[in-house]
Amino acid sequence: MGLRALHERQPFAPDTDNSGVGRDIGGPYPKGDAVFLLHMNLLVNGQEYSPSASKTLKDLILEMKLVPETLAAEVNFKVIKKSEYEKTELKDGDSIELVRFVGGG
Amino acid sequence: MTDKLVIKGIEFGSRLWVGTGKYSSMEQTRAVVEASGSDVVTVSVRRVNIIDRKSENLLDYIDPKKYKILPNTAGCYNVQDALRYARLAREAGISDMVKLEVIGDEMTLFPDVCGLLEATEILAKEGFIVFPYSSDDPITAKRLVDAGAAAVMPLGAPIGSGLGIRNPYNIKIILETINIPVIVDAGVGTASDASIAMELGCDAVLINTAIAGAKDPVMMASAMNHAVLAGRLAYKAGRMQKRLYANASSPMEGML
Repeated sequence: MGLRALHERQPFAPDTDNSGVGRDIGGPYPKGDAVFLLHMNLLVNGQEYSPSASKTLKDLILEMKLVPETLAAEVNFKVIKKSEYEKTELKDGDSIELVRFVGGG
Repeated sequence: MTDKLVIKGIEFGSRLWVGTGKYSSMEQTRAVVEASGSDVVTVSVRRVNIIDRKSENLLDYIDPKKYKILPNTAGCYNVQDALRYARLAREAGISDMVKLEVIGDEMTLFPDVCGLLEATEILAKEGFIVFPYSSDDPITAKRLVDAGAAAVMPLGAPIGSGLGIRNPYNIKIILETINIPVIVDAGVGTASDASIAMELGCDAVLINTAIAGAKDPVMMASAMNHAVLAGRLAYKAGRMQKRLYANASSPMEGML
């Protein structure tokens, strides 16, 4: 897990869709407190993304307001079975691809 | 006696298969597929748009319970990419069918048959029902059968070219050489091309651009529906022999 002390991390996770999912947790914090938060830099469909609260692939899909049933997913070039989304834990630096069917010949 | 197309135990309601690319809207796609009478549609596998979450979902317009969804590996120029897309497509959870494309060249979009054979064999071993988009070469067709393909899909002409069945003789040889279904894929331009493919004895035809690129796609979809039916009936009826010289249709007896 990409755990880092609070004073080392960026003040907020990106809020890419104005849904309020990203949140400002800027400091300063009292010295002596050791507050650790999950922080992950992921690559999702080729774009940098830092989930605010997701630990697993299923969490990420739901956090991004996508419907797991309508898509297929890869983590680090490995196709993940739908039944494994809940069990697939994400870590800092993971590359995720989320695909679905579109029109084609 | 039924004339249904059955491949690997799957019964198909129509011998016209349609692609869902190049349409102006999801609604037009839906209308075209309905007018075609087809029960098989091809789709592509592409990234979810994570910026615009409100972009429409094709399967909200094409019901997977009503239509057989055949994902393709379009845009793949090597074996690894094609395998990756096929495996992702299967995990979308609809079926094991895949229209396998391993493309050799950007201008012609002709298949890289070496890569196609390799990918067909790998996917067939993984339990996929492989429909390889192939050249019209009968030796390649035979090799694809050996590699485990469920059917062979020789092109009539380059994808999107509308040039029709460029080499009907090769297609006929393929039909006589192999014992799995032959589905012409690519190159059909208008209804007569589809009929020609079916009159040769092909088991089905897959059409996209000829419908999407028509001035009235819904009407062309209906035309293709009839063309495939007509071609199939003509094939089963057994056409007349060609003659060099005339053979009168009206009797001479009773002439004044």
